[in-house]
Amino acid sequence: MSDKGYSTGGAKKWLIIIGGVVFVAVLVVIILMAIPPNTYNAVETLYRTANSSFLVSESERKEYVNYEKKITDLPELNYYSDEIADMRTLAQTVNQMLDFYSNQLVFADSNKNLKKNYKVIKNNLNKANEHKEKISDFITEVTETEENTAFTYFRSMVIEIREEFIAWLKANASAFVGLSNGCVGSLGKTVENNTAFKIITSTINDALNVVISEYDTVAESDMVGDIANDYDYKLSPKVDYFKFVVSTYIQYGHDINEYYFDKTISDKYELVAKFYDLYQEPNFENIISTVKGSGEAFTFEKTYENVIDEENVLDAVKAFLKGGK
Amino acid sequence: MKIKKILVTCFLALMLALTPLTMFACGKSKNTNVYKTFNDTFVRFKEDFEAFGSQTYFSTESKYYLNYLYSVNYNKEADVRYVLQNSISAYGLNFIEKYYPRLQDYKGKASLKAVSNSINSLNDEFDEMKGELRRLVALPVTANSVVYNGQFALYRVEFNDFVDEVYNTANALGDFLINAGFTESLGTETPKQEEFEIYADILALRSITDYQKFFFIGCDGLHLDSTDYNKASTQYSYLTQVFKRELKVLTAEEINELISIVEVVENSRKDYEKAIEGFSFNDYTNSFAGDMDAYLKEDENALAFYNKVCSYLYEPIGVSLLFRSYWASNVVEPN
Repeated sequence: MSDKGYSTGGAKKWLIIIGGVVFVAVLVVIILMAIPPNTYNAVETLYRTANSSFLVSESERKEYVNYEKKITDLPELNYYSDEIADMRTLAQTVNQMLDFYSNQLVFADSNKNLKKNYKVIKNNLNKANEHKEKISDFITEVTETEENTAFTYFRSMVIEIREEFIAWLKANASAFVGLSNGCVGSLGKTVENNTAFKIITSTINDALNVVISEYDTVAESDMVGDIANDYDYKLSPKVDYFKFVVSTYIQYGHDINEYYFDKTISDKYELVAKFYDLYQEPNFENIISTVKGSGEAFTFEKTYENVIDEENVLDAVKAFLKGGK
Repeated sequence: MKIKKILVTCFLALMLALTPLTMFACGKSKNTNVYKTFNDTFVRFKEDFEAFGSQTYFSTESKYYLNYLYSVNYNKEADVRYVLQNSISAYGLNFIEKYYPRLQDYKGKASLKAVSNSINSLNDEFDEMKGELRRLVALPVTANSVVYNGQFALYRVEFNDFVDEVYNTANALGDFLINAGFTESLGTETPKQEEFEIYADILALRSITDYQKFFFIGCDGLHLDSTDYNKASTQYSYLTQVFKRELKVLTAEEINELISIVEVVENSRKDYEKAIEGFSFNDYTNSFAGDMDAYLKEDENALAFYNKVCSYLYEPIGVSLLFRSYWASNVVEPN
C-alpha cells in the first residue's frame, strides 16, 4: 500500500453518515408531503358541531327558557328581553345552516378544493364549540344562582354571555365561508357551476355578518359596570332578516335544486351575479345593513347613484333579497 | 446457416401476418359468444312458463313477469303481492331483450367485458331463483301457510338477487351502447332520431334503476308499511307513465340542453347511490320503528342519507322529480 501521508478513511465515513441522514430527511419530507390532509376530520367535526351546537339539545333549550325568565323577570333587566329572544333565533338559524352543510358534505369528494378549506372549517368549528361550552356554563350558573342575588350580578352575566355568543357567531360565520367554498368543487357539477348555490350561501353569510357587525355595536353600548349606559337594542330586524333568508332559500327553498332545470331561475341568478361588478360591491352587506320591515314587507333603503343599470340588476337583487317574489 | 436464417425469417413473417387475422377472428368470435349467451338466455326465459308470464303493471307490458311472487294468508290465498317489484324486474328484462340484438353484428372496439360478465351472472342468479321456485311449486297442497311462506321467503330473496343482476346487465348494456357509438350523433349538429330513441331508453332505464335501488337495496325487496315506501311507489308509477309517452323530435340545441341536464342528474345520482347504499328503509321502518334518533345512534350519517334519498327521489324539489317534469315538458309528447 502506497503511503499518501494522510488518511481518507475517516472523512469517507462521515460523508456516508451525512449522506444517509440527508437521504432519510428527504424521504421523510416526501412522505409527509404525500400524506393527504385528513379531510374526514373536517366533516366529522362539522357533524359533531351540528349535533352539539348551542340550543340543539332539549335540556339546553329548557335551561335557556329558565335563564330568559330569570333575567326578564327582573324589572331592572327586562329591557334585555328582545336581545335574549333574538339570541335564540340566531342560534336556531345558525344551527339550520350547520345541518345544511353537514348534509351536503357527507357526499363530498375529498379533493383539492375541500382540502384547501378544511383547516378553516375545522379550526373555526372547534372555536365555536369552545365558546358554546362557555355560554352553556354561564347560563347554568345564572339558572342556579339565587333569585335574590343583586341584579348587577345578573347583568354582568348577561354581558359575559353576550360576549361569548358574539364570539360563537363569528366562529360559525368564518366556518360558513370555508364550508360554502369547500362545497363548490367537492360536490360535483351540481354545485360547482350552480350560481344559485353560490349566491344564496354568500347572501346568508352577508346577512350573518351584518348581524355580527351591529351586535358588536350593541356590545360596545352596554359596558360592564356602567349602569347608566347607551344600550339601544335595534338588532331585531337584522336578526329577523337572517332567519328569513335561511328559511326562504335553505329550509323551504328550491332554487338551488331547480337552477339547472328552470331557465327562469337560472336567468334570475345570472342577472343577480352581475351586481358585484356593476355596483362595485364585494357582497350584499351594504344593502342588507339598510333592511327595514319584515317578511314580504322587507325593504332595502340603500341607493346607488351614477350607476347605469340597463338590465335593472339592482331591482333583480332587491327582489332576490326579498325572497324572489 | 443461411437456410436456417431464411426459415426463421419466413416463420416470423408468417406469424406477423397471422396475428391480426387471429385477433380479428377471436374478436368476432367473442362478440358472437356474448350475443349467443344473451340469445340463449332469452330463448330459455321465453320457454320457461313456470317462471315467467305476460302481464302489464305500472305501464310496463312484458312477457317476463315472475310467477308466484306473493305470500299467502292463513287460508293460503294470495296476500302480499310484489307487483311493483315484479314490474321493475320486467322493465329491466324488456330493455335487455330490446337491445341485446345490437351485439350480433357489432364489429367495433368497445369492451364487452362488463356485458359478458353480467349476462353470465344473470344466468347464475336465474338458476338459483329457479331452484327455489321449483321447491315452492312442488310443495304439497297440504302444506300450510307457514311452510308456504317460509319457502316463498327463500324464493323472494333469490328474486332480489336476480333483479340486481337484471339491472347490472341492463345498465352494462346501456353503457356499451353509448361507448360503442350507437348514440354518437347526439351532441353534433345533425343528431339522428333513431339514436336519440336509444339514448332516451337508456336515460329512462337509469331513472328506473334509481327506484330499483330504493325498493331492492333500500327496502331489501320487501313491501314496507311506511310513508316513504308509499311516496316512492307513487313517484315510480308517475315515472313509468311519463316514460311510456312518445318521444318528440328534438333539435340539436334541445338535445344539447338535455345532455347538460343529464350531466347534473348523474352528479346528483352519485350522491343518491351513496345514500341508498348507506341507509336501510327496512331497518328504519321495522327495526327502529321510524325513530331516527335511534338509527343515528347506530349510524351518524343516517339522517343525511335519509334526507338525500327523500330529496332526490320523491320530494317535490328533488332531482328525480325535476328531471321527470323536464322530461314530460320537453322530451315527450303530451298525453
